[in-house]
Amino acid sequence: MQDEKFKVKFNERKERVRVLFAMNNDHQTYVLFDILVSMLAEQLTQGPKALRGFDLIVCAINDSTPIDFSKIVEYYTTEELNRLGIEFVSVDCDSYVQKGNIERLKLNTQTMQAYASPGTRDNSLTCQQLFEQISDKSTTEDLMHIIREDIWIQTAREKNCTILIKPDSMTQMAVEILSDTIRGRGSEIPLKTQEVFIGDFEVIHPLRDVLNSEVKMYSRALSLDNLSPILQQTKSVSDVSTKNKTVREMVNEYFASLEVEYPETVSTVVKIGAKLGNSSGSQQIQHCKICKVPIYHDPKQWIEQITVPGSVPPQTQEEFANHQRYLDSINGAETEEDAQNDSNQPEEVKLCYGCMVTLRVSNVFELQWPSGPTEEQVLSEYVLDDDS
Amino acid sequence: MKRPKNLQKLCKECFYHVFETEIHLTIQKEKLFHAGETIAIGASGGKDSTVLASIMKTLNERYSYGLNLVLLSVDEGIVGYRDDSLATVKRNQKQYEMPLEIVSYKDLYNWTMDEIVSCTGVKSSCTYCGVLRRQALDRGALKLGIHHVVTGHNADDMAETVLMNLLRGDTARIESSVNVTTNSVGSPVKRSKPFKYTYQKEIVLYAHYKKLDYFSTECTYAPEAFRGTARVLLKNLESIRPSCIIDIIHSGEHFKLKPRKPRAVHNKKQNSAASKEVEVRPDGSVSLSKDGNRCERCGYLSMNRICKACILLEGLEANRPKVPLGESVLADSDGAAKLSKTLEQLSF
Repeated sequence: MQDEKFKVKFNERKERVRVLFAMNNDHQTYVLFDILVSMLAEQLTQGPKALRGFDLIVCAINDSTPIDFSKIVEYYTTEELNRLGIEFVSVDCDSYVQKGNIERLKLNTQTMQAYASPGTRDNSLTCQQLFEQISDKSTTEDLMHIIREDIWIQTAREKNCTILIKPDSMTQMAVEILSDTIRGRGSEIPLKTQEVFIGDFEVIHPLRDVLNSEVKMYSRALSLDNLSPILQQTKSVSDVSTKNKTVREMVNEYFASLEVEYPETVSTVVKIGAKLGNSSGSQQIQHCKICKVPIYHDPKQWIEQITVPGSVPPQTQEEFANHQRYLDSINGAETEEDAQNDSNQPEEVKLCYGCMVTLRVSNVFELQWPSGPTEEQVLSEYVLDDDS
Repeated sequence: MKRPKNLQKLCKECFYHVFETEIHLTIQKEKLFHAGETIAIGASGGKDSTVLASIMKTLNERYSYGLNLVLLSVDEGIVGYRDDSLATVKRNQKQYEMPLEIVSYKDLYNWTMDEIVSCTGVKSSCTYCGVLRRQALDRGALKLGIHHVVTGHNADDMAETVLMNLLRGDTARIESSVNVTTNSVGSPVKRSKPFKYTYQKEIVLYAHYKKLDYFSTECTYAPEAFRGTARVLLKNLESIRPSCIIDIIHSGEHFKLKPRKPRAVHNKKQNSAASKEVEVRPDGSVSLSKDGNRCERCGYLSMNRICKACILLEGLEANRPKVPLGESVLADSDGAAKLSKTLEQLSF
């Protein structure tokens, strides 16, 4: 955050950038928030005419681990936060789900073709109900991540912010890079872990050069651990059995185990992640219906090329009879299903490889998912409001 | 069975059909072979290479590829491990009716892996073995006049390589880590991996159901420590997400490095001087700009003046004891592999 746009201003007419701080309930968030508060406070000490360099809007999402703003206010005092012009926004996850239409997504696991039934509004659907559709913990974590990203982009737009600050440390970014690779989302790494520009909108990671262990030490030294009970938890991911871990938890644990013998691995992974670019040369087909990322290569075609869905043709009379019976049962089911589908008019939709696998492994017959615009579409509607 | 790749439920017969057809499709899609070509199958006697030999014979006959298949083995000189696995390869030779060629480290480099390990320790054994085996396979193939070697690297190996390249920050290999065919410019031998999309579990299952004769003991010299950590991670991940192997390969196929920024050229004179510059590395080797250069000592394909194998062998020669201590004891022990095998058989 050494850029000119964040520096102290001495002229009231000079426009300040509005920055949205994506707040999670972890050490990195509280540490980066403390650094930002110190930065703003220091700017105001640089002379009687000194004005803060940017407007900070702190956005927290009310989900399973809500953030208690009162503790933050108590720690930094209301007067100080008002003096620094810090605004707090709390977004309800349920209202995000209820705001848009809910589509019903289906994946034909034989053909790997996804279908979506037209969306309807459901004012009673909660975020928890949305995730209860899925039994697989890694999938839930993946989808939760998608929703949180979407909420931040939408809130940034609503609050007229041009910059989104993410509190991810170097360790966290390495975990994201490896987790994305493992989930088949390798092509999305440049979008998630680099300083991304979508038109005028910018996503930055100021803690990208700091290890998680260093973040925790800073938090302990400044007694920031008292700001949230989650920060005081001593339960390690190693206490959980392997079967109950998520992909991200497993990768997190892996990096923690490497830290002693191979401490350079985390920075190596982040560096190589920063060198990765979008799959150039290939044509962008569409955006994924679930995570909204651009699809450069058709995953359906890729899966078709590497797998054989067929089987050995029946040889004996008994096998022929069994096969015919099986076909009859399928045809019957399909007719019924088709009739139902006709009334709902499902349309073929595109899913990225990661979401396709996510749907397949979670064994969800029909996933209810909020439909919404892509990041580019959200941000293209963004207009700077002079009054704000 | 339920396939980890796509959760497809299959009976034994359909599994054979799907397994064989998928490998045939990979061969066809990548246009790996042409009729009349002689192919060397890298055979170690393990499950992957035994299944590869069996499948190649089956597909060659079923789809009339018109290939001449030869088994090519490397004897690294690990007593108690490789000699047993080579016995399996010799049995395979008779079962599949293919000619067999064995090249040994001792003949090629005047070192066995047992000698290397006793000289350098177990920790770096994979570094030496990897470099030397690659050359040995190429040399063995060329000895037979063969320019194409197929190896039994499977999807698990590919996924592990993708992870390793990420963890090591290997920009030179990150884009090509999952290529089915590797062929350097100027290299006389092409390498292919028809099992790129085939899970290790399915290979074991195929070998088991088909009652193939293979050697199932892992190399006695422990796998490289860092690679070992990646392997453990992969196995743990597979227990919660069986499709992760193929998902990692998908990611690996879509890794694309950002284009490098072109260097600013000041003037023509400077440019021409820069083009003549060569980087001299601390070990005395010189970095050359083009592929297809040869090692000054052994003539093997190398980016540098001296190839990696020659540098490693030079280091080994420098450390070879001039007067071996306890010669008789060493001669009896025959390396760590044999020793551990003897210890396993002891009873008290």
